[in-house]
Formats: sequence, structure tokens, C-alpha cells
Amino acid sequence: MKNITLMLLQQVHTSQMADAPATNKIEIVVAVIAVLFVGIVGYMISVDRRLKKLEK
Amino acid sequence: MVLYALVAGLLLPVPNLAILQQSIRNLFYHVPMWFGMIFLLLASMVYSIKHLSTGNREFDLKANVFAQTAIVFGLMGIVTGMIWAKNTWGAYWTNDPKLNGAAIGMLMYMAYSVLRNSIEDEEKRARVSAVYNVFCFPIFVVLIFILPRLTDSLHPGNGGNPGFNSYDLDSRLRMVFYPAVIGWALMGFWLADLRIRLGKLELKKEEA
Repeated sequence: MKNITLMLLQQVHTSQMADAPATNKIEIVVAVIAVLFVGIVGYMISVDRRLKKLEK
Repeated sequence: MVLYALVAGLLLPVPNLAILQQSIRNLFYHVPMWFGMIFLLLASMVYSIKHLSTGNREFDLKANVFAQTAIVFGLMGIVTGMIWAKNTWGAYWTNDPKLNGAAIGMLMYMAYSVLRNSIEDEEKRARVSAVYNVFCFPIFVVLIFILPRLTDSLHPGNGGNPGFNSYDLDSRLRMVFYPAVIGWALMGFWLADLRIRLGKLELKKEEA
């Protein structure tokens, strides 16, 4: 019985090792995606300005 | 494809790496920026050459817009890179050959925009900036791809740093990484195309 629980624990442990835990440093990724969003929005704003000039 | 890269890049399991941990996912966001930039700059150079051989104003417009879009991608690449660097290397900027090369390359292309704005005469402006652009691209490639490889660098994929290979070889990362590169490059071309069409309308209006 003890052996089985040990084996199970080990299995749980190794499966956790395979994938990174969900909370670690994910905020960096979020910050990076936010930067991309800001960059593209900035680009759109510049297109918007040019279009406005053209409309006049 | 960008949508796929955004979603899958967040949800797909990634290998557990020391220090990087979840931030390895930035591979799907930071790196495609630079790939996109390179493709856009290549297009820019091609149109500069075309302009030099034909004198067509439309080619000059295209070269200019592609270069400007590439600068936007480059800026996004640098800022995302800085955030990533701060959290893995401990500083926003390290005096690393790859980083400095990228910075010099960016300045070169910003100088391209300044050069354009500083010449009044339109034909002259187009010709001078086209020549400058044709020289810029090979120098840029040398700066960010060749020079860093000759020395040691913190940045993966250079010198004695095997970092990139160890995780690039992971097929799960590749499954997202390649579509991400293609998707973002296409996105860059689409954004540039919007500006080109706008520029064409402006040209038409000028002529009318």
C-alpha cells in the first residue's frame, strides 16, 4: 500500500515537472502581449490621422 | 494565424525551463516581431532597388512604408525584449552584441526617416533614400545575425550560448512558433498595405 502511494506521488510529481506551473512568470507574457497591442493601436492611430487629412 | 499563435501560445503546455519558466511563451511574441521586421525590410530594399531602376514614385512610397512598418515592429521587438530581459537577465539592457546591434540597426532606419524628411526635392529625396536603404539592409543583417554570432552573447542563438537550440528543438514550441512567425509577418504586410493604399490616394490627390 505504501509502495503504491509512493508510486502515485512520484507520478504526480513527474507530470508536474513536464509542464511549467501555471502561475510562474506568466505576467511577463501578459506585459509583452500588452506592448504588442499598444504598438498596433499606435500604428492604427497614425493611419487614422493620415486618413483624416485625406478626407479634408 | 496570429489569433492561433496568441491563443495557443498562452494555452499550450511548455517544457519547464529553469529561470524562464512560463516566460518561454514570449518566444511566440518577441521573436516573430524581429522576423516580421526582417521580411518588411527585405521588401523595403527590393522596392528601393525597383525605384532606382525605374524611377517610379509608387515604388518609393512602398519602400518608405515598409521601412516605417518595420520600425514599428522593431520597436515592439525591442520593448518586449527589454521586459523579457529584465525578468530573466536582471536588467532591461545588457551590453550584449545582439542587443547593441539591434539598437544600431534601429537607429540606422530611423536615420532613414530623418533623411527622407530633410530633403525637399521629391525626386532627389526618393533617390537618395533608396540608395541609403539598399545599403542599410545588408548592414542590418550583419549587425543582428552575423556579428553577435562571432562573439559571446547572452541572447539565445549566438556565440557559445546553446539556449535557443535546447528549447527550439521542442516540437510543441515549434507547432506554435512557425505559424506565429508567418502570421505576424503577414500581419506586418497587411498593415503596410493599408498605408500604401493610403499613400497612393495621397499621390493621386497631389496629381489631380
